[in-house]
This record gives sequence, structure tokens and C-alpha cells, in this order.
Amino acid sequence: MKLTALLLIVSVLSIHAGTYSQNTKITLNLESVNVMTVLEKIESLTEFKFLGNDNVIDKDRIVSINVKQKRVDKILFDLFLNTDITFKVIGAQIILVKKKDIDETQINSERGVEKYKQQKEISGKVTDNNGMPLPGASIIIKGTNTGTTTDFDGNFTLMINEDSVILIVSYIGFGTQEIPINNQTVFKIKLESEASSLDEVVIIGYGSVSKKELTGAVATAENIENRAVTKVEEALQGSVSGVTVLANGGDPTSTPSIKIRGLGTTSAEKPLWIVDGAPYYGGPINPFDIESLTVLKDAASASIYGVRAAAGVILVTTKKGKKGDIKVDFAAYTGVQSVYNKPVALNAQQYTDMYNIAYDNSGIPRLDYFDGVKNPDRLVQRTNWVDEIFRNAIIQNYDVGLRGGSEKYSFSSSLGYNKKEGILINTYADRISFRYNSTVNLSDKIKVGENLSYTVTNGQSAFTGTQAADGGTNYNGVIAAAIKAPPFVSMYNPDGTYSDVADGQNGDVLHPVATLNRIDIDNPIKNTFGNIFLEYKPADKLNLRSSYAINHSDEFYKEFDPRVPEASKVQKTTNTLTQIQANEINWSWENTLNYNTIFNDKHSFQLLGGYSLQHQEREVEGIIAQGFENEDSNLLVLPLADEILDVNYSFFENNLVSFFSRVLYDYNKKYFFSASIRRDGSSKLAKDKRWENFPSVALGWSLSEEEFFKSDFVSSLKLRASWGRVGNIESLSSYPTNLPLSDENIILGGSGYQTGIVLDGRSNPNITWEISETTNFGLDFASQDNRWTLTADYFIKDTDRWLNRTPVSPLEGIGESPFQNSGKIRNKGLELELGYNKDKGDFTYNISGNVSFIKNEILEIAEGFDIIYDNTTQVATHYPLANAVGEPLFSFYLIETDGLLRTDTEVTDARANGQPDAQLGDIRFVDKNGDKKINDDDRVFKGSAFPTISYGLNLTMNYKRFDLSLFLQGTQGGVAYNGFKLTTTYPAHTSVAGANLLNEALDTWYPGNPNASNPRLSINDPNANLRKSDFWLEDTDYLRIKNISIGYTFPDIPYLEKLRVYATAQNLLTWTSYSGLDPEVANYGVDGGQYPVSRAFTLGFNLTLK
Amino acid sequence: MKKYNYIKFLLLCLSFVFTNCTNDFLEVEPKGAPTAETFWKTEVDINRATNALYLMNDAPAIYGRGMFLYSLIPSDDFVVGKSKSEIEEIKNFVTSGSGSYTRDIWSIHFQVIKRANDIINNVPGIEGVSNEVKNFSLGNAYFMRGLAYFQLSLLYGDNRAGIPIVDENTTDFYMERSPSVTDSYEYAAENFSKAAELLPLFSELSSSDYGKAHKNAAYAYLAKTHLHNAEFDHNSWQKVIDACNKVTSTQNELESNFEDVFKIANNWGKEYIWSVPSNVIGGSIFPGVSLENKGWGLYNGWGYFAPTLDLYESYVAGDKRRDATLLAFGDEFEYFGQNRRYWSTMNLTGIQLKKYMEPYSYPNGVHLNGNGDQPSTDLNPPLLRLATVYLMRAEAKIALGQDGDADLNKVRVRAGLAPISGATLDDVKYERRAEFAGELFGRFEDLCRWGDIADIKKALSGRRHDNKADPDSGFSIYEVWKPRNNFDLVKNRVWPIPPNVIDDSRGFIKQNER
Repeated sequence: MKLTALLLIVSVLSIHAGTYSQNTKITLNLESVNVMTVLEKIESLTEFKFLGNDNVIDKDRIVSINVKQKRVDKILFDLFLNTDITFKVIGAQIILVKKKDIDETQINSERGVEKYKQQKEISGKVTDNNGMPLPGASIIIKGTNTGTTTDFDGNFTLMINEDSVILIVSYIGFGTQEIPINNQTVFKIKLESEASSLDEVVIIGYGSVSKKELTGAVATAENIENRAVTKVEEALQGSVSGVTVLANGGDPTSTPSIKIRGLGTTSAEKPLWIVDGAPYYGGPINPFDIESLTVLKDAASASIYGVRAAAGVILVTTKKGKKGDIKVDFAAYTGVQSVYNKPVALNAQQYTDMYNIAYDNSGIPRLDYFDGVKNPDRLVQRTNWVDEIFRNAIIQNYDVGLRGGSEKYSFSSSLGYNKKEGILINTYADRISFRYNSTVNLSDKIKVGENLSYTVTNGQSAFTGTQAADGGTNYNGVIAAAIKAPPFVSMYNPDGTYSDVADGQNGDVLHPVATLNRIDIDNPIKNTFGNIFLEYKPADKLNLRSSYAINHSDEFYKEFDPRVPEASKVQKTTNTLTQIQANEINWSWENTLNYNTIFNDKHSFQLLGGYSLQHQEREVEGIIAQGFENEDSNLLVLPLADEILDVNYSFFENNLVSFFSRVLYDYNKKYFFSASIRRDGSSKLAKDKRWENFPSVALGWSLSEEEFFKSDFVSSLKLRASWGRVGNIESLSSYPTNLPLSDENIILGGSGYQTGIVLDGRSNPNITWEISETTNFGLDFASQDNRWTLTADYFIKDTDRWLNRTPVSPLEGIGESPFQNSGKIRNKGLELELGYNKDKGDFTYNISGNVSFIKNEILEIAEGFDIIYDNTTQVATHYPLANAVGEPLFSFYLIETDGLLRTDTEVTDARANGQPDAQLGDIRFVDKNGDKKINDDDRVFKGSAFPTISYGLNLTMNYKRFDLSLFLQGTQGGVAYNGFKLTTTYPAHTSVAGANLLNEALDTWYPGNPNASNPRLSINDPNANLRKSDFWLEDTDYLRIKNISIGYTFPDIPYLEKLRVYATAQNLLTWTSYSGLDPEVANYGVDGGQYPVSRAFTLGFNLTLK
Repeated sequence: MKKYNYIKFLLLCLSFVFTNCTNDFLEVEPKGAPTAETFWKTEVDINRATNALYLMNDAPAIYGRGMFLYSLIPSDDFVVGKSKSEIEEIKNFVTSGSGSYTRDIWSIHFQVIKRANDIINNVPGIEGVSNEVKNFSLGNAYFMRGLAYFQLSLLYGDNRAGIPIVDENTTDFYMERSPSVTDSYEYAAENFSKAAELLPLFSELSSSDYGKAHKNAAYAYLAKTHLHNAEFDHNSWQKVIDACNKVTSTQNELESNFEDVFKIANNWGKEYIWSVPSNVIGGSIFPGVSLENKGWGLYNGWGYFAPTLDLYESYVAGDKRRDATLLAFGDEFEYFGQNRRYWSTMNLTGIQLKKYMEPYSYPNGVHLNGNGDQPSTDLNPPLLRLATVYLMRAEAKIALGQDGDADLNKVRVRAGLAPISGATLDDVKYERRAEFAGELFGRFEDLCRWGDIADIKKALSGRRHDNKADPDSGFSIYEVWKPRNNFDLVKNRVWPIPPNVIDDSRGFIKQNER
């Protein structure tokens, strides 16, 4: 979409000034300025516009001019005297051409005066390379001063002499073309854009501006299709500064989470997605459909979206049909994924040895169970459970797109299928996506259009961590289970059934393979998103737009839990079926009015006003049934159940009303000002708290446009400053002021449940908007020819009236604390994006890097509290997180440790300082408060999981027909609590007595291994080595080769416009010191062993038919 | 100026239209669930609010394992059945109270208290509902509020500090603990007394109300509350007797066979006063938690509670209660419809708690929760039964220098022992241990009450069999748990309040110093 929108407006205006008098006289007094300045001065004083190829004139020639009330054509005559330039005035346009062209014409016309009289009419249309019409383009017959300009739709007609040979077509910002006439009468002329990146149009809320005119902090990502990503979020990772994308592990069904400019609050902070101008609540967007992604980072840019914009806004522009030929695109890739960092369990011999060491360390007689002599079978290595649960997983993706259009109508459609197997057996995710966009120009003034998309996703995953979905403790994560399962047990019994993994001491293990293979989930989620809009242009400067968007999400979930005959923790003699149906409808109706105008050629205004209505409702019905005689999948229907265990239902709805307006102003492309205000009212809040105003202002100053700013190196330099505020109430339920009662299943006399109804919370009529306020200072720089580009932003983002579940008194008896507005959070940061590109010659390349520094700090918390503990995020019932003033959100609050006790003196010392049961090989804890006791009073803050530095480096190279891209991404400054190690290395904390251990157990202290890095194994842990402490805290700094691709584009293949084949490797290499499965730990850095990120190799092609 | 007025007028009109539209659009009433305004209207509402008082029945932290861990494990009757540091910390009196099995005990009790207060505040004003219905609901509310305070007092309160008193009028929930546990016991007693007045007898309940409070449950808990308070207030002994008399005036017949008390068929039998209603869907999981680890491959028993040889050997010859309560190697029992002789490769003491194993005797596990991860059964584990009332009254009478023989002998004779005369506190101690082994709030609380510290501190023993898979295997006796000399009666008879409670109390609630 390289379209010089601004120039378009200027040109349109110039055409309508066609009757402008050529006799205008002006006064000029300019000393030692370049020619360009003179022309600009004339433009600014008159309605004349200069057209023509920029290359024609020697812009930098220094001249002095001093005239009084002189006609413009006379001034120009003087200006270009003794140069090779001459000019032609057509209406208010002045076309500059080289003299030699005119000379040729003169020669030509002298040769054939007869022919000169035989004229004919030609016509045509000038468009950009995307087929968009170019109004105001100049067409000159080569060698003459005859010519014309195109009208609003890019059309022109021109009388030519029969002997005219060549048309010169030019337009500012586009390469000039010479078109041979060759007896043609109708021309279709496409000009190639020469526009620099600064002329690119950037989509902003409810509109667009050229990048030059931006005053807020806005970033764009493009060329998504070249990265073979399956999810849009993956495309954003590392490619945009200030945007932190956390992969959340390799679970094929999970979606990476996006945080724009740090954690602003404690819950429900998701960016707002706007697709083609409408708030989007639909299914996952197929990356194939995306033209560009724009991220509005600062409040000034986002505040036009008011509510829901606190976490930033992501604007998605989908591919559109272009006037002209119909295009058919195909894209396909397939690949294989594998685990790149597999945990290793002890083998049968080590398992036995380490337990005997643990018993010895504890001074407890060894158990017969762990006696390899009495029980030689246990020394036989039969199964490597970790190997058995992972696999090489296939990923495949197919897309087909059909785009095209005519004068009146354009459309774009696509169909895609993506299937991604998970690297854990029996897990997968798939997606079918369909999209149809079209626009119809009903007349010059009325345009209607629609976007329609339909997606169906399905998939199933496995539980891998230690925290159940409802926040409860669960140590049955399947990766940990594969560590814990005994290696001397075979996978199957001789009769083919799953073996009893739970024998004797290791009672609570699961059969890891059976657990995975038994997952039986059908979870089709169908999203139908439709958006229809009408645009009406009653006058050139005025645009009315009304758009209605609706999404219907139809979610079905059916999970069957079969009987488990083998002895294990989840042995079951019954089976259950859970069936849930959910329907969600979101609609929005938005009406906007745009007015664009320019006064005196210098004062440019874009005015916007509008209002919108939004509605959300969701209904969920669920049934749990038990006791299916026959487990055949065809017979798993509710009527065949023995018993309905539970039926539940929930419904909520909420509405939002918004009014908004904005003014964008610039003076001569030099000084920019914008201001907006939005007023939002939400049904979630009480009448008197419902409405809130969200204002913003922004300023820009294009230094490089100033007279005094002269540099050969700088082509553009702009300073920006903005301030704005946005709101957030996403975390609130629909009825926080009038909490519905909840029903509970109560066991009383008799069978089954009885219904209990209770108000398990507290309504809060005072609840109101959380406010996020951002002040932003930015700088944009581009060197001559845009070789170097730099964007820098510094911001302070304050969250006020922080919506948090402030703990209520433990005497109030409320199940879940209500949300309250309490506290303040500050994110401060610096974002830099630096690029260099070489775009000429056979070998071109582009290097861009971005880095963000973010400091997150709590400024205030709820009154009455010094520290608010996070009582939900846990691993192995360690709740290591807390919030306190002066610390980042979700900081680790732990007892500090100081290595292991390796000498008797150290042991004696520790025993005297609060560790009475300390022995050699135990952890030394730091008695912070010096009370000779080690307990929770000794906790200190130890940082948070959120990285303070995130960076990405992108290198793309093209050599002739080869292209190569390399993408590196990394973070620094985050820490994670390695609960996976804690819960799989130590017998006393595996939650499964006698379970097998992680190979970290080999690196534990025992008399024969005094230099080990981990504390001693023990059965009863008298020194409480396994208590919540910073021993388990590790840096998660990493640098990852996220993506490396090499492609080749074939030359001239019949019927094909383009064919590119490529190979991609994702997550090829990772450098990190983190010892867990993956340094990108979700769950605020509390790592219970999440689904690991995979390494993938894919092959694919993109193909366009002619 | 005219033009300006015109615009102003237009804007006014527009804003008028918008304001009216948007105000309607922004008024959204909750659907699909009652709200505070639509609830508390009908008899059904009252009934459902009353049901909601009983969330403890299904809570693992309460009658599943949490409170059993605090009551049985620290005594000399049980040791930790399999290695589990969280439970070992309880056994060794070094727990911080933050363990997952016990950290919710406090909060669930206060949820019950809140629900009771909601009933007490809302039910009396409901129109068009009979007083009978209202009184039953209110009686349940007072009873459960009393039970919550009784249980909390026993677990967390002592003469250093009690439990903060919240009633239906409380609006500021930031308060300090009551000065002594006597205050919270008195508060519990007050609630039980009110409940007893409001509630009907169990025999008057319709079967659909089984599991809810009744008059004798209130009197029996009133007695039990005073029994525990008697240590601090000698006047309580007479109150124990008075309350017990109320019970026995309408309910005075024990099951004739001790073993039958723990049968599904007698869930609501003549000895029933209070129990944990349970079925194959939910309820107390304690029968499964205390079952042989992995249940000999047939059921997911958890094996957390191993009875000590000390308990086994404490029974005098001829006491039928030993074999009804415990299984030793070679003992016969029914299991999944099969006759089986006991052996165990995992049990640390060679002894299994048998009291709650009747549900496991039936073929195909028909009385068991099919999900072994929530091993509830159709048996309602008793919490307070008629025998408790007799032994409480016997102890109270003896404490007051009266004759407790009649009450004591009722229990003794059923156990197959000869009646005694001139019973002393020591006789009460024997009966209570033998009768209530493996039941909630018994041995450990009794030892603390009586000050029998030596019994708590001493080393505990078990049998180590030569071949653990052979029911006829010989054994040697070994020390299964070291002496716990760190036990301090003042500090360790109560448990640490869950640290998250202290954290969230803004400094008002002080931890039990340990």
C-alpha cells in the first residue's frame, strides 16, 4: 500500500483550481536559496503547482531572486534562463521539462507541418502498481510542451499529432515512464512507486496518515507471509519494539500472549484487535490474509479507542482486491517439529542408586523396594518414558487466494487449512479459515463493502504443568509424569494393555503414554465474523462512514474420560463425559464523519467525529455425565449415560457506548498537532461511575523541513511528543456492581448433589475505570536515500486506579475477593529501532534491529497493605509471587540462599543461625532479619519474570533471485522459578513417594560428590531445602535464532507470475543458561514444566498465477 | 449569532436523543442467575441457601483429609503412611500451615460462617413462608456457625488467643482474635443452644432433609464444645451433662454391634447424631485416603494413615473394637466381593485402618466413587455419635466427682467387655481411645486436654514383616517414628493459622507463636 495519500489530496485540489489566472503576480525576495525553495515559495504564495519528474531539474542549484509583483511565468523564465529546463503552464499547473525535448519537437514540427495538423484523440488511465488511480499525473508528448493531467479517477484524454511517438508520464513519488504510442489510442499506464518509507501510509485509528505525519508511537510489521508462521502473534514476536510476545510454550492449542509496553495491570490485559477498521472478536486470523499489522503503542494513538485500548491496539489490514487482473495465489508449506530440549530421567540403575543415597543421607535404613540385590528386576532398564511421550510432529499449511476487481467492484477471498501436530503424542491443533472481502463503488460518492470470515479451529492438548486450569494444585503434568514413572516397567503388559506403573512405593505415578493416548477432546470453535460498511462522500472533503460488525462464536467442547484399569493415581472404574456448548455474540456499530481540508496550502486539517455502540453476550451450558457401559466413541452420547452428574449454565452481557472526535493538523508538513477525545460509557459500571473521558494530545516537528536545517546526510528528522489516557475494565465481569448469586453442588443425605445458592462475593458499586496514561517522546530519522532509519521512543505509562482483586479480610468468608480500584503502576521505557538497507544492484539487503528497555514498578498498592501476596500462582504449593511498592508487578518474594553447606564449620554456623537440622550438602539460607530463625519473615524481593530488555534482529538479503532472511530474538532481565526441577529432582517434593527423578539428581551433594551444585537428596528434608527460596530462581535471558529462511524465485515460468520456493527453520538454536525446559516461561515465571517449544523445519512455496 | 444558536439547538436535540438511547442501552440486568434483589423470596430460595451451608462435606481440606491430618497424625495412634513431607511436618510439629492439604481449612470455615450470617440476616424478613420453614433454616445456620467456631477453636485457638467473633451484624471484618479460646467456645455454644431451640428432632425430619442439622446434633455439639472448654472453665462440666441429658432424653439406644456403626446401612441408624454425608459422587474421601495404597491394584487407595502397633496393642483382650477398627497381617476381610487375608507391601506398620472399609467389601465397587482420584464412598463417616454423648457425660460426671459408670458401661458392654464400677478418668481414657480411634477429633485433642504429653512424645512402633506379601509372614517390631521430644504443649497443641490468612488480615490476626 505505497500510496502517497497526502499528495493525492494536494493534486485533487490542484485540478479543481483549473481556472486559476495565469496572470497572478507575486513578490519574491530570496537570497542564496536552492531552486526547490523558490518553487515551493511560489507554490505557497499562489495556487500554482509544479509537476514533473523530480530528476529533471537541478534542485540544488543556488539562486538569488528579487522581484516585485512579477508574473509567475516571467519569474520562471528568469529562473531557468541558461539552463536546459523549460516549462509549460496548463491551468494552475506548471510542468517542468528538459529543453532538449522541446528542441526535438521543434525540429519534428518543422519537418512535417502537414502531419502536424492531423490530430487524433487518445485516452487512458494512470495507476500505481497496485492499480489504484493516480489523479493529477502529468502526461506530456515527448518533444512538445503539449500535455495534460489525469482526473480524479486517473483518467486522461489528449489530442496528439499523428507523428507523436512517445508519451512521458510522471507523478511525484513515482518513476517517470516513456510510453511508445504505436498507433494505440487507449493506454493503461502503471507507474512504479519510488516513494520512500516515509511516504508510506500508516493506518491509525479511524484513518490513516503518511508515516511522515505520525505524532504517536506506532509500529508496523509487514511481509508476514514470508515467515511461515501459523499464528499472527508469532509474526509480531521480536519484530516490533515495545511489543513483548510470550510463546506460552509449544502447546499447539495455545495462543502466544502479547504485552505492549509492559505489564500495566494484574489481569485481563489484552490488546484490542481492529481488523480493517472494526473491533475484532473473531477466530484466529490466517497470516496469509494479512497485508500489514500496525501496533498503536502510546495512549495518544490508542485513546481514540478509549476503553479496551489500555493494553495497546493492533490494527490488522487484510489483503484487498485490486482493480485489474484477477490474481490467484497459492501458498503451501509442510514441515516437521521436534522437541529441542528434552528433559532426562534417571535410568533404572541410577534411580535405585540415588534413592539409596537419599535414604543414607537421611539416616533412614534403605528400603527393600530400592534394594537392587533383593529386587534385581528393578535394575533392568525397560522404558525411557520421556522418549515415549515425544514425537516428530508434522505441520502442514495450505492457502489459496483469489483477488481482483474492476472499476466498480473489487474482492479478495481466501481459503486456508493449517494442521499442527504437537510434539507430545496425541496432541494437535487445526484451523480452517475462509475470508471474503469486497467493495463496490455504487457511484462516485457511495462505496459499500464487507468483510466476511469464517474459521473453525479444533485441537487437543495435554496438561503439562502443576497448576490446574482452575488455579488448583495438580502434580500430574504429563512431562513430570514421564520423569516420575519407573524406568524398569514396560510400557505394555504382554496382553497389550497398559502396564501398572504404580507399584509399591511409587503409588501416585501415572502411565504417561496411556494418559496422553486417552485424551479424547473434540473442541470445534466456529467463528463467523462479518463487517459491512457504507461510505458516502457528499463532498470531496467530507466522508461519512457507517460500519456494523458482528461475530458469532459457536464453541463446542466434548471430552471423554475413559476408565483407567491399570494401577495408577487416576485409576478409575467409571468414565465421564463433559459436554459444553457456548455461544458468544459481539457486535459493534460505528459511525464516523471525516472532514479533510487545507487552508492556504499550508494548514491541513483532518477532522473526525463519531460514535459507536458495542454489545457482548455469552451463554454457556454444560453437562457432565458418568457411566458409559460401552466406550465406543459412537456411543458416547448423553442418553446412554448412567447418571447426569451436573448441569450448569451461565450467561452474561454488557454494552458500551462511545463518542469520539479528533483533529489532525499540520502546518506545511513541518509542525504537526493532533488531539482527540473519547467518551465511553459501560453497562458494567454503576450509573454515576459509568462515563469516563479519554483525551489525548500530540505534537510533531519535522526539523528537516526547516530552512535552517541543512544536511547532506539527513533526509528527514522529526521530533514527537504525545500524552493521552485510555481506560480498562476488561477484567471486570459484566455485573460487578450487582453480583449474581452462584449455584454450588452440595453433597447432603441421599445420592448425587443438591443445589446450594449463595452470594460468594461482594458487589462493589464504587468500581470504576482503570486509567492508563502515557507520555511519549519520540524521534524519527532517515538518512539520505533512506539508507539509515532510526526511530526512538521514550515513554512513561502510568496505570492509575489499578483494578486488582485486593484481598478482603479472611473473616469475610468470600470465595473470591472483589475487584477494587487501588494502586498505581508505572512502566517506563525506551524503544529503539534502527535499520539499514541497501536496495540497489544484484545484492540488496536490509538489516533492522529493535530493542526495548522497560522498567516496571508499582507506585502504590491498596491502602492498609505493604505487600499483597499472589495466592493463586503456584508450583508445588509454593506461592512465590507478591506485589509491593517499589517492585515490579508479580515479583518473586523469597528467602535468599547462599549456596550449599560444604564444610563442617559452615554447618555449625548454619545450625546456630536458624537451621538447627542443617547437615553437609544442605542449602544455606540467609537470615535477613537476624532473628536466628529462617522463616517467611526473611523473604526479600528478587525481580520478576517480565524481561527488562527485549530485542530482535532481522536480516534480509537478496542476491539476484535468492533471498535469505535471518531473525534473532531474545530477552534479558527476567527470572523464572524452576518448579519443574524442584518437583522432579527431590524425593520429598515429587508429591509421588518413590518416584523416579530428573537427572539433576545426579548433581546433588552426597559424600562422594562434594562439589555438586544441588543440595543433597533426602527422604524427609529436615533442613527444608525445598522450601520456597531463591535457590530455584534462575535467569531466563536468552537469544534465539527464531527463524531462518532461504528462498528462490523462479524466472519466467509460463502461466506463472511468480513462484518462490523456500525452506525455513524455526527456533533453530537457543542460547540460555536457564536449566528448565524453555526460557520463555508463562505463568508469571512460575515454571511447573510447561509444554516445550519445538524446533521446526519447513519447506514451502508461494505461487501466483498470471 | 443566529447561526450559533441554531447549532446549539441542534446539538441539544442530538444529545437528548443520544442520552435517552444510551441510558437504556447501558442498563443491563443479570440473567440466568438470581441476584441479591431477586433472591430470598421463596421457600425454595431458603432451602437452597440452607443447602449451601454444607460445602464442608465435599471439601478435602475439611472432612477429606485436612482435618484428619491435624487430628489423627500427631497422635500416638497413627504415623504417616507413605513418605510425604507435608504430612511429616505435621507429625513432627514443624508445619508452617501453608501446605496444600490444610491451607483452606480457615477460609472454608469462614465461608460457612458468611453463609450462615446471610441466612440469619435475610430469612426472618421473607414473607409468605411458614415459621417452621424459617426456623429450620435459621436453626441450620446457627448450628453450622456454631460448628465452624467449634472446629476452628479446637484447631487454632487456645488460652493465648481464640478465634475472631463474626456475627450477622459484623460490617468491619478487620478485627483481632478473641482474647481466649473460651470466648469462641462460648460463642459456638451460644449458637448450638439457639439451634437446638429452633431445630426439630432427627426423627421429625423428612428423608430429603437428612444430612441437615437437627436438635440432638445441636445438643451433642453443645456438650462437645463444653467438654473442650472445661479445661479452661470448670463450670463447663455441668453444661456437658445438661446437654447430654437433652440428647439421651430422646435418643438412648446404641447400635448393638460396634462394627455396624460403620456400615452404609446405618448411615442414619439409631446411633447417628452427626456425620459427613457422602455418596459415590462426593463427600468425605477419608475412606479412600486411609485405604491401602493402590488398594491391592483394584482401587486407588492413598495409604496416608498407618495405625501404630501402640494403638493395636492398647486394646485389652476381648475388646471387639480392635478387630472392627484395625486389620493386621492374616486378618480376614471382604474386599470387592472376595474374601481376602490382609498383607501389605507398602504399609509401614503392618496394620491397616479397617473402620471405614465396609464400602470396599461389595462386588464391583458399587458403593465407591468410580474416580479413584476422589475416593468417596456411600458410607457417611461419623463425626459425633451417641457413644460420644455417653462417654462425654461419663467423663463430666467423673470430673465432678459423680458416678459415670452407667454411661461408660453402655459403651464397654457393647464392645464385649465386662462392666466396671467406680470408673475413673483412666477408664474414660481407655474407652475413648478404643472407641474413637480413626475418628475426627479424638486422641490428639484428648491427650492435649488431659496433659498426657508423654504419650505424644514417645517413639512409635510398627511391625516389619519378613515377607510383606505373605499374610502369614513373621515380623519384627521396629521403631517406626522417632520420639518427638520437640513437642511443647503450649505451642504445639494448636496449628499455625494458614499464612495467607495472616498476610491478608492487614496485621489484625496474629499467628500462633510456635
